[in-house]
Amino acid sequence: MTININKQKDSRRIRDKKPDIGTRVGESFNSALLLLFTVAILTVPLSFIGATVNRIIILIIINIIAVVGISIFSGNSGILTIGHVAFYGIGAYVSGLLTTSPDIKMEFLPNLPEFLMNLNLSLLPAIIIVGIISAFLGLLTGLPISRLRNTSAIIATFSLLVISHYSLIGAKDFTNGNKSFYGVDQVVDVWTALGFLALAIGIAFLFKQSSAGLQLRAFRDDEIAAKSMGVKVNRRLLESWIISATVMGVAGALFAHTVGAFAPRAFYFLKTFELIAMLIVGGIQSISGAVCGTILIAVLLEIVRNIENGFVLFGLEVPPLWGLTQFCLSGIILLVLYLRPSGLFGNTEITLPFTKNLWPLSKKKVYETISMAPVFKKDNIGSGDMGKCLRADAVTKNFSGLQALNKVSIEVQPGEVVGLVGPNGAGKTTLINIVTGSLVLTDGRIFIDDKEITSWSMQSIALAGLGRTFQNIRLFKELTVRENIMVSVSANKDHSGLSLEKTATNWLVEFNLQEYAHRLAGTIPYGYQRELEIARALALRPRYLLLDEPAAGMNRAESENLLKLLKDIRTRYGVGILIVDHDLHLIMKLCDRVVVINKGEVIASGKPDEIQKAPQVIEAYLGTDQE
Amino acid sequence: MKRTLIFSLSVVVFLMMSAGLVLAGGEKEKVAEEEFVIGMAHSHTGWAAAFDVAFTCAVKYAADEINANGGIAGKYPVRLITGRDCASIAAEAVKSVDALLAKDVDMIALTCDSSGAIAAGRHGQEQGILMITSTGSQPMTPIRVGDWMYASNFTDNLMGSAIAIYAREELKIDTAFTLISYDDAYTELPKYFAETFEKKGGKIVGEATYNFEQVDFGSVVSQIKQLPEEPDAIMTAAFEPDFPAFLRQIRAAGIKSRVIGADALDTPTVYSLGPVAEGVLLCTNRVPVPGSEYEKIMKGYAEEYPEHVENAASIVGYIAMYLMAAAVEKADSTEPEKVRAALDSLENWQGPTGPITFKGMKNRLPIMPVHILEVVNGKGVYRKMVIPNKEDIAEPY
Repeated sequence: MTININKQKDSRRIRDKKPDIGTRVGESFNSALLLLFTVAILTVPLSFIGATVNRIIILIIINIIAVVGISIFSGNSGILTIGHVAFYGIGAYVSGLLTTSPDIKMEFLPNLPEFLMNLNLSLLPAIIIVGIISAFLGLLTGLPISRLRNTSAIIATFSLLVISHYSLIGAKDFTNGNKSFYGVDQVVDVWTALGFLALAIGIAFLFKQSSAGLQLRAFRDDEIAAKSMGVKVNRRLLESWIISATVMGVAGALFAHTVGAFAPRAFYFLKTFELIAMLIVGGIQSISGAVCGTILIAVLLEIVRNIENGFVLFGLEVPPLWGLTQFCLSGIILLVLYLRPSGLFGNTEITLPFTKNLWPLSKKKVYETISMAPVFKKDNIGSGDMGKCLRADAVTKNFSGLQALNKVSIEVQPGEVVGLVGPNGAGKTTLINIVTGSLVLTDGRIFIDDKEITSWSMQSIALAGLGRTFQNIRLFKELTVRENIMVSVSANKDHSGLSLEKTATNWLVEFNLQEYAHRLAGTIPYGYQRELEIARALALRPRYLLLDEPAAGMNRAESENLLKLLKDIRTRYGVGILIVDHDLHLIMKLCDRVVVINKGEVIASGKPDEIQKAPQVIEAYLGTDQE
Repeated sequence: MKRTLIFSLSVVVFLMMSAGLVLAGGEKEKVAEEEFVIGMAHSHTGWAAAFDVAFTCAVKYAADEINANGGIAGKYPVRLITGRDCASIAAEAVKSVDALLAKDVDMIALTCDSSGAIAAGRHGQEQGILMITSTGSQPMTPIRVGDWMYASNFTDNLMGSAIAIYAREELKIDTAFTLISYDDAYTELPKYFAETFEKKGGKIVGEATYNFEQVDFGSVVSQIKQLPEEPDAIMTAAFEPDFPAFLRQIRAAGIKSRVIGADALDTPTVYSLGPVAEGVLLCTNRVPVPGSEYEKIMKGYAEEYPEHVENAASIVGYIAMYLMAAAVEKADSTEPEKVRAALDSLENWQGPTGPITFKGMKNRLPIMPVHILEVVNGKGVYRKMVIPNKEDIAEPY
């Protein structure tokens, strides 16, 4: 059975034009190449001018690497880290210990363990070791930090900065404390720095476009929705934190081998402020923003530093204005935040039309595979297997004395549509939230097929086979329509051998949303947003679907379209659907069975026509004569 | 897409123009043969600015004096090039020195921030440029940089030894307790004090350590109270805010030992501490004695830089400028090699606060006068100039 939902859609939405959908790798490759080219063309020619400019250029490139490193975590997760300079500092010290000649180390680190004292590695092996150590420290610090959100997470990263600072001071035998660590070979040249920049940008783009990066960006937009799509949020945060820490550690090592001497204060607030300013000005969500923001700020700061000791302008002598650099840095942040809160680049990446197909894979258009309709198994429909159902058993929920649900039981068979209705405040959404793991029940049990999922996490429940939509649409608004689907597909991991894009595009074609594939989800019409949310939930390949007021805000025509859509879904995919809605017309026409709850208790259950006549239902909705 | 492209190109063009401006600042300047050009790589922001700014003002003041008299030896005018702000950060110090090196300076005066001075100094060392430490007193800075860097201030080992000699010979102090912080090299000075103090027959009866901004010195107070006898003196190089806190707490505990500090105590804050600070001994470059050469210099200096007149870094800068002028005069050249050789051979050069000798000194650390003040009635009363013998000076480490 292959019912194409497209055919039942508004004909205005159907276009002959094939969707122009490149691959993620291709798009990223173009942006990465362009960024690298931009940095190279701005820096390489200048580096030949003299030692002064050469070193400034190298330090700017290292700053770019560091900011790109921070953006791997902050850009994808939306959590601002102010602790990453810790890894930068550790990278500098570790690489210094590994490469500085034993004679020099003996001068100021006489108590260094013998094996460290005798080490005299070259830059590359040292950087590899720094990367490994940074990743390990990233793992250790990321484990607690990945469990935190919002202000708590920011404060935790700040604590990391403070702890690392005082650790560097305290570990005198290894760092020389507050005194200088010196004698580090200054072997980083522009080409080395550019090589590592290419690596950092490549890693940043690969992560951003990977399943993990995509899921993390989904988390950034809406954590609850991401969890409901099966995204293991903490793990994604941890992964990005580790990668980010590794890049920062390597940047610190490069810094050490550019400057040659440093002290712990070089890796504290000022450096943090500088790097964060670069990230914010460019745009925290964009790697292009991180790169261009850093170049912009770095160049501006270099200009200001060169004029703050006074200059002559048209014969007028301008006196020294020391501190102008910090003033300008703060001013730029304020200005950008006021005029463009999302930074200069917002969440976009720079691309040029003529570079679009440089990557070989990008020529392989996804639309060519659209005809490969996904195979949706219907083995759940009418299986008659009594164990297979979504079942809430005597669920009770108390909110500080207020009983929202009292021993509510409900069951949805595969391929069955069950309506859950009741007046406002009856407990419908509470029940949905308990079943999906958003709320913890007070008593009772929940099962999916034979498996008990009581008190499971949202993402585990989603992966166990329960998709959902929300009363208030919760799309990932900063992701494209296609990426919204890709989040579910990636979490599900069952792509039937197709790539994420292809599977997601197939879903879009199924829902006739391919035309909007590249539009941000928050910008498409409301009705389509509702459909996209359903498509996204289905892309998780659930066995059961919970729809929380899907018709809310829809007019009669849209509601009729939704009715057809849901009937098709039930018929085609064989999923069991539990739907909550106030549109009784929709409920009665769609549902096989209706459950009515009022004041937290089930007051009626049965076929729609029976329910409509049930006196207790009429009373619940209309009240008694006395009332 | 079009907007993004236009924006990107605008950014590129803007950056290219900016880069051009930066480069314009890095071009070599035409220097007249007879000029002695000094690059000033100092911190104008950050913690080191408190010392570096006063130092630069005094160097400029002295250079103006020299130039008003026709230059060094009447034929080498001094030209100062103020470098970009070192901002108390090593990376910025390196950039500042790099930029000055590109301007063909004859000498560079470096920030007192040791990490910046070492990082940048090693670049100067590679280029073979004469450098001085400005107000930096860490003896290891010139040693770690190399043979082109000279200390222009008394170093911590000299200072520690000088005040130890004063304590033993003038005050007849027999026992001392030292309070050290390993948070910075400056606060390790009591170790040098202890070495000379014991060499001179004194006895160190105890040692305690503290961390910067420790606030509570209860454990140190207990340690001192548990000694069989109260020490004659307590020596520390602590400075604000640790020193006032420590001082108040030992006095509150009834400990009456004389407190001996280092040069960082020569500040208005210490003089305003009231009775608890009475009798505190400290080191300084200043000679606040009516009619002294120092007072005469500061009278004129105060007219131009009143805000820095109480800062000991001012006299260090003034002396450093004249010290370099003496070397140039002796070399009769501004060539770095010759000036360096002249500096190495300077012996008993009479500076405004006392004689300075580089000749025969290892590691380019001069013997110069250390002036001892005592806090009396909230003022720093001059006690004595101490110039240790070479053999009494503790070895730097």
